[in-house]
Amino acid sequence: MTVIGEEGTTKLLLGNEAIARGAIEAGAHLVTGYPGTPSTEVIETLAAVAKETGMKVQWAVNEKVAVEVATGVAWTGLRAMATMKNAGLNVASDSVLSIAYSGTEGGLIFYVADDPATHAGMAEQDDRLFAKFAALPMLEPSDPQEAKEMVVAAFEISEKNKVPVMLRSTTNTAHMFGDVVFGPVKKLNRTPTYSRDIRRYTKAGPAWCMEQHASLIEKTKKAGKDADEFNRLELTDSKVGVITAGAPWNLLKEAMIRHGLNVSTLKIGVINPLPEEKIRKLLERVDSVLILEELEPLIEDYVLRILGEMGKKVKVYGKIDGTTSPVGEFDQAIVERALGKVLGKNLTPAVDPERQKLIEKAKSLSLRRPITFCAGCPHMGTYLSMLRAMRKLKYSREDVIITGDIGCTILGMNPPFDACWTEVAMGASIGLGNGFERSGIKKPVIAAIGDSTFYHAGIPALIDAVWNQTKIVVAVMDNSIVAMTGHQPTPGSGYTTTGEAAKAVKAEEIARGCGVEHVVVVDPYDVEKATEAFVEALQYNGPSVIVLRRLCAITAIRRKAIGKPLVIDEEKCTGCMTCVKTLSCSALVPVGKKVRINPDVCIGCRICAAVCPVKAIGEGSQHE
Amino acid sequence: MSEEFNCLIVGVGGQGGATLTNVIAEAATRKGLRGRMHETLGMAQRGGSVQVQIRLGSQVYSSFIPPGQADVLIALDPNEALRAADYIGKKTTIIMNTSGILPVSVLMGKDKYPDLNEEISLLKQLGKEVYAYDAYELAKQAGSIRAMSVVLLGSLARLNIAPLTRDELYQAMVDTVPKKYLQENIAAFKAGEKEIEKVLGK
Ligand SMILES: Cc1ncc(C[n+]2csc(CCOP(=O)(O)OP(=O)(O)O)c2C)c(N)n1
Repeated sequence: MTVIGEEGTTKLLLGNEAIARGAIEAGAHLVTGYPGTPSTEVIETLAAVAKETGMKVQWAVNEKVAVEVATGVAWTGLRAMATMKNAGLNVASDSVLSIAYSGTEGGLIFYVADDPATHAGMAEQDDRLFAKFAALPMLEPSDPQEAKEMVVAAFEISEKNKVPVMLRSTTNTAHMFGDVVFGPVKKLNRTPTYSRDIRRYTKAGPAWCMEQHASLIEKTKKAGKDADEFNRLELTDSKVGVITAGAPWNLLKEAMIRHGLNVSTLKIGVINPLPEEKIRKLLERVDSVLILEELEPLIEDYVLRILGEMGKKVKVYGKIDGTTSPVGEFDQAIVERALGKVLGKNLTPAVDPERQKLIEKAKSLSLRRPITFCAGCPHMGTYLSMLRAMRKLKYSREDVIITGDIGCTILGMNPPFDACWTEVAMGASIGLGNGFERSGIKKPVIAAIGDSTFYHAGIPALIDAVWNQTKIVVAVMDNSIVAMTGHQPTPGSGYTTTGEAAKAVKAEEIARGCGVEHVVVVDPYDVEKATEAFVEALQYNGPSVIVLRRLCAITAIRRKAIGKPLVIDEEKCTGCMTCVKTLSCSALVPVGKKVRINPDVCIGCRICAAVCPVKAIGEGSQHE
Repeated sequence: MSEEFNCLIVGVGGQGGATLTNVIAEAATRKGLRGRMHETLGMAQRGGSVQVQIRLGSQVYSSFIPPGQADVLIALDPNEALRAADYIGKKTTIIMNTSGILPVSVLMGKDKYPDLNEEISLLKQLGKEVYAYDAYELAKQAGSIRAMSVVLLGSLARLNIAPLTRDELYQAMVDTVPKKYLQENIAAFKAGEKEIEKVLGK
C-alpha cells in the first residue's frame, strides 16, 4: 500500500508501513537497515516511493553499518532512522552503545522489531531489556496509528534531548493492518553541518566517557518525560489494575469490552524510562495488579521495586507467579485466563469436550507443509552437487560436517537433502566450521552460506580461515538476492535499493582479496561442473571458496529471465521416482506410476534432468 | 461485540490469498469500516501455509480472531481448512476449494492427503454450513486457474454474510485485480456466485 497521500487521508496500513509514513511526515533525510522479519517492510515501503519523497532509502550490508550510517547523517543535524529485526540489534549493539554516549544532533531512531513466538525463527529475545542496558529511551506502539505517531514524536524528542530514541515493535504490531490517518509532511531542507568535538564524539579517556554516560542518563530521563503522553492511565473505582504495553493492550481492551470489566488500566508507551509516577498512581488505587507483558518480566520487576519503596502490599500477577509464561506471544485465551485469575472469575468460554475432540481430530488429519526449495531454486543444484561430490570421494553422510547458515540456504537441512548440520547466526557457518577443523576432528568441513549472509558477517571468518590456514570449503550460494526476507538486492546484485545501476561487489573478488587461493565460480544449474568443483575443493589442502552463482528462481520469474518448462518422456520414464525423491521439486508431480512436470511451475532449470537415471527429462521439442 | 465480522482465509503460498485479502480490505476501507487484519508469515513462495485474519467492527482491537469466532472461513486448500479448526465455531460458514495442493510428504509417498468426504463431514459438524467445490476447475473454465480465489470470493458475495454487499465486493475486485486479468476474474466471480445459487436452488 502506498504511503503517499494528502493530510487527513485514512488508509489501512501495516504497522511497518505506518512507521514508514511517520518517517516521511517527520522529514527524515535517510532510512537504512538490513532486512529481517518482521522489520523489512519499513524500507521496502520507503524504497517504493523514494523518487516522490526524495528520501535516501538504502539497504545496508548489515545492521551495524546501518546504525553507523544513520548516525553519521544525524550527527550533521539531519534526521535518520535505522531498522532491523531483533537479532540485528545484537549485530549493531557495539555501535549503538557507544553512539548512545555521544547522543545526536538531528533526530535519530533505531527501530527494532521483536518476534515473540519466533514466527521467523531465531531467539525470542526481549529487546526492551536492551534499551535499559544501553540507557536509551524506548517507545513501543500497540497499533499502526500509534506507531506512526510515535515515529513523528520520537524524531522531535530525539532532537530536543540530543539522544537517539529506540522504537520497538513485535510481530503482532509490525504486521498488523489498521487504519492510519495521515498527518502533514515536514519539509526540513536542512544543511548538514558537523564540527569537531572530541570530548563528545570520541571515547578517549575515562573522564570523558563517564561524563558522556552521566549526560546520557539525564537525557533519557528527560526524553521519557517528553513522551509521557504515550503512557495512558485510566483509573476506575476498581481494586484491580492492569498494566500493559504493546500488542497485549489490544487483547486487554477487547477482553474488557467482551466481559464488561471496569479495572484501572495503565497502557505504557514509554518502555524506557518506565513512567514511575503513573505506575505509582495506579498502585495507590489497587489491591492487586496484573502485568500483561510478553517475554521478560520487565515492567513487573519495576512494579515490585516501586511497591517496595511505597511499602504497600499489592498482589502482583505476572510472570513471577506463573500467571503468564515468558515464552511465546499472547492471545485472547491467555489474556482472559490471566484476567480471570486476578478477578477470581472464570472468563474463559466453556469448552464442549465432544466438540474439542472433533477439533483435535480435524487438526490431526491436516498435514504439515515444511518449507521447501522453490521450483528451479539454484540452491537445489548446490546441495545436489555437494552430496554427489561427497559420494564420489567415498564419504558417507556422517563423514562431512556441513555447517549451514541463515537464509533460504538453510532449507538444505530439510528432506530430501538432509545436508546441513548447524544453524547459529548470520555468518557463523564459516567461523563454526573453522572451529570444527581446528578441533582436529577427522571430518572435512563445508560451510554453506548465502551471498547476503557472506557480505553481512561471513568475511571476517573467511579471513580467519586464511590466516590460520584452515582446510574448509566455503560454498557461497550467490543468488544475487536476499531471498529469505523477500528478495532485496545484495551488494553483488549490481543494483541499489531503489533500482539504479551500482557496482557489483563480487564474492570471488572478496575471497581472493582475503587471500583465498582456491576460488572457483560455477553455475549450480550445471550439476556436473558444480560437482567437480566440490570434488576438487574437498581435496584441496587449505581454505577454498566456491561461488555458486545463479539468480534466485523467484526473482528470475519476476524479471522474465527463465527457461522453457521441461517435459518427461512418458515412454522413457520408468516411474522410479528418483527425481521426486532426490529433489522433491514442486514442479515434479507423480501421476499414477509415473512423473509429470507441471508447466505452470517449471522454469527449465534442468537440475532434474541431471538426476534422471534414464534421461527421460528434456526440452519439449525433443520429444514432440 | 455483536457487530464484529471475522473472516479467516487459509491456503498455500501463491494461491491468490493476497488478492482476496486486498479486495476485502479495499471494500471495507471504501465503506469506512474500521478493522484490523494480519497475515501469518507463510514463506509464501516456498509452498508454506498462509493464513490471513480479517476483522471488521468498531470494537475490534486485536488482529487475532478468537478461537471459534470466525464468521467465515475461506479455504483455498482443504488441508489448510483442517489446520484452522480452532477458529471454526457454530456460526462459521465455510467456503472451500476441494482441489488441494499436495505437500512434499505426499509427493514422496510418505503421507496420504486427507480424505475429502471425511473432512467435509467433520467440518459440517463443527461449523454452520459448508460450501465445497472444485474452484480450480471453475477458474480454469473462467479463463485461468490464477482466478481460483476470486471464485470463492464470488461465493462469499452471493451468500451475503459479510458486512459488505455483493456489489461492493464485486466493484472492489474489479478495481483491485490487474487490468489484463480482469475478464477471467469477472467470470470467476460469477462462477462462484452461481455455485451458491445452485445449492440455494435459485
Ligand atoms: C542478524 C540478522 N539479520 C537479519 C536476519 C534476517 N535474515 C534471515 S536470512 C537473511 C539473509 C538471507 O540472504 P542470503 O544469505 O543471500 O540467502 P538466500 O535467502 O538468498 O538464500 C536475513 C537477512 C537474521 N536472521 N539475522
